[in-house]
Amino acid sequence: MISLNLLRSYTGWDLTDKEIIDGFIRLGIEVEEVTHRDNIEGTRIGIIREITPITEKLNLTKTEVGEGDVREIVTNSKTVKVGDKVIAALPGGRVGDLQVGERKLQGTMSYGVFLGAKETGVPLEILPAEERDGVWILPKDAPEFTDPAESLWLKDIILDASLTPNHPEWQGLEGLIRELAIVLWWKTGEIPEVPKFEAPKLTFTGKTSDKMAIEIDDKDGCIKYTGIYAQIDSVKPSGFDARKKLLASFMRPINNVVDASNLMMYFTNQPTHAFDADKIKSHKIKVSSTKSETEFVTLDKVTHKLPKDTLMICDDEIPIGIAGIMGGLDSEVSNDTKNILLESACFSNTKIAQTVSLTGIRTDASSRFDKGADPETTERTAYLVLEMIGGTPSEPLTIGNDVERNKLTLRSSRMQKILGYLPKIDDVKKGFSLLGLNCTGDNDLGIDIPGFRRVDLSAEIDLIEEAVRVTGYDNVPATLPLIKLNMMHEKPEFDFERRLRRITAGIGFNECVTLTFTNEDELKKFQLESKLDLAPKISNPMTADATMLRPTGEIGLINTAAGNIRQGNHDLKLFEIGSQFGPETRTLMILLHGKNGTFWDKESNTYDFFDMKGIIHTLLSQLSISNFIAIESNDNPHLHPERQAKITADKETIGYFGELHPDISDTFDFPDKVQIANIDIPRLMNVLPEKIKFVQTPKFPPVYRDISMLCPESISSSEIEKRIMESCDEKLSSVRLFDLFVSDENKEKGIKSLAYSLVFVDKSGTIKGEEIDSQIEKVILNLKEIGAIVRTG
Amino acid sequence: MDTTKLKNDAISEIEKSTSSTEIEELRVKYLGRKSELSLAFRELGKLSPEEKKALAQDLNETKNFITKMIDEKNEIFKKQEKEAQIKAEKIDVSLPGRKENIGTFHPVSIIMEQIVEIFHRIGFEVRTGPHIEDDFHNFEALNIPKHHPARAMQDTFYMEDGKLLRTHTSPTQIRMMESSTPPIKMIALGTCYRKDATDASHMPVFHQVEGLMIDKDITFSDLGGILSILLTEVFGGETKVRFQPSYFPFVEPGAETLASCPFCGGEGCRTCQGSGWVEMGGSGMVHPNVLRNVGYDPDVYQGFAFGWGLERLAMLKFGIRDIRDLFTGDLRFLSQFGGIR
Repeated sequence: MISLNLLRSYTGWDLTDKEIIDGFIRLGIEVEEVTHRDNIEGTRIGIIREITPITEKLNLTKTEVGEGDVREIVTNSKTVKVGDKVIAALPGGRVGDLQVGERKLQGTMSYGVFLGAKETGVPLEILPAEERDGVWILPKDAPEFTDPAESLWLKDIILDASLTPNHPEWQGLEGLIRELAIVLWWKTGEIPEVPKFEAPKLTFTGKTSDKMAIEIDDKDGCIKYTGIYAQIDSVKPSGFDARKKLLASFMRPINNVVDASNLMMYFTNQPTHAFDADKIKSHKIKVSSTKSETEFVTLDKVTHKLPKDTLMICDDEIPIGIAGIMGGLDSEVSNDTKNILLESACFSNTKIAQTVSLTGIRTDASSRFDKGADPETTERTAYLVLEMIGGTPSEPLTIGNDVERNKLTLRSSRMQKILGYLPKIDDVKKGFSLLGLNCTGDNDLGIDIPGFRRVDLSAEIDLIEEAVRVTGYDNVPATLPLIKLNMMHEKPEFDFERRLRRITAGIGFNECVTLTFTNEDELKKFQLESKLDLAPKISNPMTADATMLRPTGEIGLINTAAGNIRQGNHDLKLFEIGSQFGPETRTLMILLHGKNGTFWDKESNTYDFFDMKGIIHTLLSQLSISNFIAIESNDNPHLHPERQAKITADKETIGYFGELHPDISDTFDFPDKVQIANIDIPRLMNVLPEKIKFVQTPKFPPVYRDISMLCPESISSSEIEKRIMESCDEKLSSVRLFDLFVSDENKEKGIKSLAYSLVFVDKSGTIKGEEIDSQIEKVILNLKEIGAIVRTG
Repeated sequence: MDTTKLKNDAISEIEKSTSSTEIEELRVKYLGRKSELSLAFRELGKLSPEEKKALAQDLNETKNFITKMIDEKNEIFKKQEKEAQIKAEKIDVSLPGRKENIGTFHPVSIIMEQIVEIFHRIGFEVRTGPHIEDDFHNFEALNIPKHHPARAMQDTFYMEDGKLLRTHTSPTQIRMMESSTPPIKMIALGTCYRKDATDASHMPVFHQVEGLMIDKDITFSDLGGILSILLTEVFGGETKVRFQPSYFPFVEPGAETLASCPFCGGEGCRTCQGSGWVEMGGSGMVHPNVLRNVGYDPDVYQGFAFGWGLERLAMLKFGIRDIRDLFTGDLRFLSQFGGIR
């Protein structure tokens, strides 16, 4: 959250709101939302001079809203006292969308109204609980008779910016001011003076080392530790100026000590923490890491289980704070605190990041330390905090040293090589100087990286990015690379999936994309308990319905079909090319439901098993796979046990298809039967013919013979076809079933009637009738063995 | 027999006839096997040669005359009847035709196919990769060590076996570089996962396109050129492209790419929140650490990478406002995308 009032209060630069926002965006500070805080107009900070009760609930006040300008204002507040400073909205003013006027309350005229915090447009969560309701009573030092829209920044523009982790310095106002300086330079071409929060001169009484020892046990975890012992006058609410800045920074006021620490963190980006020095019994601060899992209560009264190797601030051996993250409850500053130990330290960013990611505790402090804090600013920030708190500080005690600055070189030749163009070196130097990166040299720039950029700027490439940034990403030219041609070694999978997509859409299917998640209950609903072990489990699921990855791809399509039915879409031809898991593979899934060829002049058919079988046949034919065979199966518990088959080609199983199990179909209330196919794409690729084999077209016309027969119900069509084929020689070129009929009479007898069309072709001449007759004789005999009676004539 | 009377009878009856059926009846009556003429021909044998000759000639003339008359009349009726029949075959052409079901590509597939074609045209190859990845390929190799704050930018689904669901298609870059030597010009496409709560612009499952180009002289400016090609091909020639600084640990310099808003052409509208620009996704020069992690010398090889969301591209291209619409599979949604490619 960035307040433009706060920014401008330190810069005074001539930049419009839009120029600031656009400039920030162009520098990589992504402004996600701009909020106009602008709820009140025509209000004054007034002082209540007199209170007269008029009814049980109402008081009449005399409130001074300008030098000698006393108004009679009626309030229902029973908490306001004479001398309180409040915000008075006066007739002619505006609160939200309401115009303020004079009004009569229970017979008494009121020439204005006192405002609560809520009416001023301040988010209540950043106020202390006692200020959220009723009339908002301002600090005693609030500037009376001023317009709080101006004096308390109740009229402001707040930017909600998303800051990338490589720029921790943007979390501090100083960092943002440096960026704003670039914006101003871009606008005016002039290099502005960049303001900085300089360390104040403090008068020290005694030495911190006389009161407190500091020891760093984990030197990797804690780079530097500055402690300052200070006597303080009192712990009390912050004054008006601090309150105003806290409001602008979206920070909740606590007390003058904590507020000073918070505000300075927001300014210099360096977190500090004040311990009640008298609660540190051993008079020794020790920074060490936990040797085993440790329980700890933070100042927000939450008990945490901290993992081994968490960096702690200890009262000798007793932990009193999680380093860089949050202090402990027992050593917290309270209203009775007389002496504090102000900690201003630099902890290792990787160490803090590790604790944050292991414990999930994120605080304003941790979000600064885990990206890399500036060791060079520990004393300065501590001084700024102490200046705000007041009291009597002792001479600081610092253990550890500043980190040696990275000395980097930015070569023009390297910039040219990486970028393909060379930003103006003079502009790079100017921009860098505004960012606090002082350069030496003309062509190749030598730069000592200051502490506040030490993590992000650690190699030449980092400076190249920074050079592009300060000279404007807008100025990167668009060129096309010069490359040598080489033959691509494309992996065929993706191309093949594209081909499948074309074929399947080409035969009338609508492509869906569904989520790959599932859960235990869903698998049970699909009678797929047996796949539970196979489905890869997510250890940190987001919702209870997405705890594992689907072991059976078509779950997604079936749910999609059910959704369509609910929406009144009845006739469905859906497909998906997606992944299924356990093991992970790519799958083509097809679903059919409803009616085929609905039309005004004829009866439509409801899709059944053979529609799906035909579709698979068509699809495989498109891939030149001619040897597709469906083999009876009951492998798939989610399919009808009597109506499912394996899809095989070249004796390889490449998938399955069938009708959705009636029980499952019922739970979804599907009006018609659902047909499903699931084809494993890598296996399908394995059976693709390498090339199309050409066979010379016969020069002589084929001869057709139809045979019909009665045979037992139990004999499969494939058995009959097999026997027909083995009874004839190579001149039989195809066998096709063209009729299947079961009369009521035959049904009782368990008999069905079948008719096949046989095609004979001879490459060398016309086939003689007798030759075919003798082959048909053999067919008849062969079929007789399985009880099929061929009807002749 | 009296052939004159026969002729006159025939003339009279033929002229009165009204249809080809009646004509055929007359043909039987006058010329059929049991007709007077046929009988007379059969009787000829009983006559003397002179009588026979004279009568035969008369009979033949009569037969020819009647035949001709019947044929002519028949021709007229046939023609009339055909015309009548054609007239009777009139249909209501406004009745609906018998349609074949039209299949459609999912909008995400349409964009994906289009991108593949664009990059095929400039010589890039396509790669894919597994959804379940290991930490090395998804994070470590991409310059995102354990506990790095950037991991918080990509909230990750972890599997019970310690693997994870890839948060981006960038692991494909690593796999590509591990298995080949430059020059590399690749795009990768596929499903990615992030623990994002579902809303109008986020889904925990989404798709990305990843681009990678590595050689000795591939520059940041070249990235601008390639992305301009991509965006003008996808959204049309008027599209303007610009970069904005952004941060992804596996690229440096890193950039967010913006395109002039395809809805308002840069004027400012609801989709671009008034800015005239829409964010397309991240890109940048492959970070030297990433090159080192796959065994490339960053002083020799360099190049760019980008990774963009396909849903976002599809939404911008088709004007879809809510990402969730892409995943409902409602036929009324799906069927709108037919015939596009």
